[in-house]
Amino acid sequence: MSAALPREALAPPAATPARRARFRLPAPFLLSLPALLALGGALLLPLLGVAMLSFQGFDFDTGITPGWSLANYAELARDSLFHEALARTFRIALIVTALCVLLGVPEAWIIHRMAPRWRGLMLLVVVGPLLVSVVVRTFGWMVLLGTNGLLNQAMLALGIPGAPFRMMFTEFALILGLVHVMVPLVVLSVWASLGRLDPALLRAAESLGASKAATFRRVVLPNIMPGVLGGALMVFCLSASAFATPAMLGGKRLKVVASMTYTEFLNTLNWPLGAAIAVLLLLAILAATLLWTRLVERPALRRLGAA
Amino acid sequence: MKRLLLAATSMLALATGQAMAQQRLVVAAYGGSYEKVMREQVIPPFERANNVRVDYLTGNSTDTLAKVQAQKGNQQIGVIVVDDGPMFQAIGLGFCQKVTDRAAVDALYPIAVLGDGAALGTGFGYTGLAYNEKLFRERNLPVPTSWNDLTRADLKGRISIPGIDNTYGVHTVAMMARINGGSEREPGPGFRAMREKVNPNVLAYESSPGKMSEMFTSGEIWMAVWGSSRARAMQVAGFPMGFVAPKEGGVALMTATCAVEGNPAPELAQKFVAHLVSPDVQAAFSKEYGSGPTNRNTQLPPEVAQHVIYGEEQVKTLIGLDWSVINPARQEWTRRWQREVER
Repeated sequence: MSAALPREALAPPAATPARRARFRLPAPFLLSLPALLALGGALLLPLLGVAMLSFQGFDFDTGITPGWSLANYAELARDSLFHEALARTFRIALIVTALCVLLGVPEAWIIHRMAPRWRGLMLLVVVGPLLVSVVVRTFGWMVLLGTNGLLNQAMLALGIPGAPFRMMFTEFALILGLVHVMVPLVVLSVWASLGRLDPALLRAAESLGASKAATFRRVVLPNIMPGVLGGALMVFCLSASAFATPAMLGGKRLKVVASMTYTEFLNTLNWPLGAAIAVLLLLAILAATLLWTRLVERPALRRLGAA
Repeated sequence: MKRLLLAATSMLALATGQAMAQQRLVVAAYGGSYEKVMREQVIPPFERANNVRVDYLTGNSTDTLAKVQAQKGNQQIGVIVVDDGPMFQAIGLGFCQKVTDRAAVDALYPIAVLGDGAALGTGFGYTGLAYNEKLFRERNLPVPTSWNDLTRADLKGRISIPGIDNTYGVHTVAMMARINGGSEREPGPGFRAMREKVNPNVLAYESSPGKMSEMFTSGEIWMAVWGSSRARAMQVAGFPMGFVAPKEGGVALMTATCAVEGNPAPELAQKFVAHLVSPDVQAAFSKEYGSGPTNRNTQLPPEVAQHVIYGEEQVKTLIGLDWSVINPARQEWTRRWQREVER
């Protein structure tokens, strides 16, 4: 990303091919060098360290045993607990992504259509939760969702049959908490696309007799699709690697891959196994991201003429 | 103006001079009520007496052990306080420096001197069943008396047990094994009982003392496997907490401390370890945290003494687990717990 920007900005458009060949390489490279160094030092090197760690062994009395083996990966391939956690992680991430898109896109559209003075306020209300720590927000849900919590008390007072329900430590609570945390990301990303939407398009659709619903479906939606797809991808990646919300609302029973990594690193002290889990999670998310861009995002954008 | 500037610079010089003279010591120990006692009554006198600043790192035993393991070769932590089981692991891993203060070692009950003087016990407690006295009375539930009360149908979904990463969780499996015909060496029956009879009753496995307290106060749980000191701290805070040693036996749980091998301030660390087992500090912990003193010279007023494990005779009434068997198998126990019980 950072490498592409300076090139577009700086490559002299009228330069001859020969001059371009001489200057194109070093300038962008030099300009992106600080970013590359920071990225390399703060992201790639540690990741490499984690990857290397995952090939080592572990013994509690002697600690980490050096060596190169695939034993950790072989163990995870056989481990039904890991399979369960991996399946749960991706199931939850998919559901959360779908819900966030279903909620976030209309939300952004509604806010976009508001009078300017309400718009700013409402945007602040939506984004506000991002200003509060995830841990605090999740604690709020714990208070609401408990057997004696507000929600159950309200349902009891309304005489809803079956109340009180057990909501804490269920996947329902986990999904609810994650959606609350993630919706603003979709709203923001769609909001940015809406800002680039030409108002004349809407008037044109209206003048040609399109209904409100048809305008939204056939004019607005295609135009904000990059924002929707980008927001969805962001939510998916963050939900799949979320740690605090699953740990707090799901409890120890509902393990996700991130909480398994935590346990191996901090409780069992088996760092190499924890590293192997982390590497697998990274690869799984990376694969899902690539598949998403290839199978959904790119065809969708191409069909809409945006890419 | 000039004079003011001069005054300011000399003040600054004084302040930095002081800061340079002041050494630092990092202490890693438990959070919750334990941390409160440490910060209010244990650390300030030590800081004054030794002109040192103490930094406090909160974590339960396995967290602290993980930190020490992570900093192997470049230790930042001077003193750790962890449960006896993890302390034996720390000694085995060579993380503990032998205690140099012979007088401090000799003042303790022999049972509180671990690993030939590598670590010292700082307080006695025991694992048993904590329950909400008020709720039990209101609902006419019989008061728990046995480890088997964890399987009671009328407590379904109202029980919490700390996870296997916590000493209380290890104690629970070990006791379920013992009363079902197994032992530390043969934990199979314990895991089976946990899986088939206890697990359906458990609302959540919760290792954090803060969250456990929260679940008790909100009425989410009615009973839990917990420590005598933790229950005592809730009582002192005004919660109607009942606590029993089950008839099969409460399990002895000692908190222990050691100076970390290769830490940057070894002398201070040794002094702090001796400070933790001094009679004054021990009495403060007995009063505020509900742990029994390990230093035999500690004098407790009767109203404090009746709530803690006081004296070696009382310690002997508790069940002591065989950590030399559990520690080497702990990884295996953790694996089995995660796969068979905690699902």
